[in-house]
Amino acid sequence: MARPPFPVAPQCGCRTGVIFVRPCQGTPITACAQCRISLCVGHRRPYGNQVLCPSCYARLQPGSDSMFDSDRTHYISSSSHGGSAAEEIFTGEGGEFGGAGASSGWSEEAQPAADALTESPFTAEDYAAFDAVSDYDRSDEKGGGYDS
Amino acid sequence: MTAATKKAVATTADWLIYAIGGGLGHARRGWLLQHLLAQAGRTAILLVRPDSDRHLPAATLPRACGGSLADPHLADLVHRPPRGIVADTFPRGWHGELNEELLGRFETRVWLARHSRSHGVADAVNYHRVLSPYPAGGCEWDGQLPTARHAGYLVDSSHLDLRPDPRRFVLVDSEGRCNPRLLGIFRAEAQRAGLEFHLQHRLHDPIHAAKLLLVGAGYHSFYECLGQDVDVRFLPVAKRHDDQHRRARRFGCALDTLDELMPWLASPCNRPALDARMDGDTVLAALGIAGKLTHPG
Repeated sequence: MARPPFPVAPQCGCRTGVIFVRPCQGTPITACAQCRISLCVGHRRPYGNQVLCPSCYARLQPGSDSMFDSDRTHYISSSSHGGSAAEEIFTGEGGEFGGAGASSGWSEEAQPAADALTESPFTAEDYAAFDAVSDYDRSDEKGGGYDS
Repeated sequence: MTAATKKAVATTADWLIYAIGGGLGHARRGWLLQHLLAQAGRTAILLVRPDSDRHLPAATLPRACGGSLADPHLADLVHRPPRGIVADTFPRGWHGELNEELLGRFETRVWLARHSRSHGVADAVNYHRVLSPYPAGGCEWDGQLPTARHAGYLVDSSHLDLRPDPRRFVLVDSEGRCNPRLLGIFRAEAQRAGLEFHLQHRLHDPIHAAKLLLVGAGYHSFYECLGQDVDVRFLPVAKRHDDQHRRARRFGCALDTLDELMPWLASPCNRPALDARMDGDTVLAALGIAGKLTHPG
């Protein structure tokens, strides 16, 4: 069994809120392909065949007036697990997670752009493929009896 | 139509198990009931729709096939009926054939009442007993059958081989309802959650999984799997009468949208603590048959 493709922190590394910014309490399910921050369902952004955090997504959008430089200046982390740099927390082979007790600083200006990007990673065709499974069962058309 | 359906059926059996339904579960329940009765020293003939018994073991006890009791080759069952009937179908039968005249030929009449979203219970008055194949605490009827006798789940999961394997996400799609696009999504999401994806077509093949997703939530596959040591979700199929969505949601194990997939895959395994073992003595008592089984099912 190959190792999971990303280390998963016990808490989403993003922040929520505009006026009262607080750490997201979402369960992480993946990590940003760019900055490796842990991401919950609500904060992941599909980008090609990758999943990005809202900030990296906004930064990589074509023609975006990036308020971020190419480094992770928008994400400043400190951890109670000893790692003080984001790289130590979210990259590597995943032995130690740094999410618990981590505190992060987001620029307040970044949040409206992030919140505006709440979209599903799935396409309409993906949803249609899923919904088709549950479609009305036509196997009972011989009389429509008391199906089990 | 099989040879058995063309042969005239006469019986001196104690019971007729009238398992006429649109799915395969009726045959499975009837087969279980027939063997419970045999263990209690009662004889029963199992009547099923043609081909609905294709997943049952070869018949060692009397079995007949037919569309309903109105079929000509079943005339002897009507004219010289067994003493009792257990009807696992609509209260009035498949096409209304279980009218008062026909039911009146049976000395004891039992309706095996499964929840249906399309049929009420008014016609249950034609039966002496109403047997509810659910425990009182997990009954799908929600009090609409105040006189029903709860017999626990009428399932037997002993043929399943489900074992926990923390690395694997297994999809069981027995009817091939998932198209390649959806299978690709399942595979990709499993990989992102650090799991191996496996597709199986038969529930009865050995399954080793941390997360098990079943396409369909019919009575048997549902309650059989809930008693197992795996974290299971169901992708219900819309049936005309059986409400699989309702059943799966009642137990909090329906996968209703694609957005629910990853949170479930990434969550710690949560195995339902449901004891779905069949209690043969309770089933027989609900049928009005006293005594204990020598070999409880």
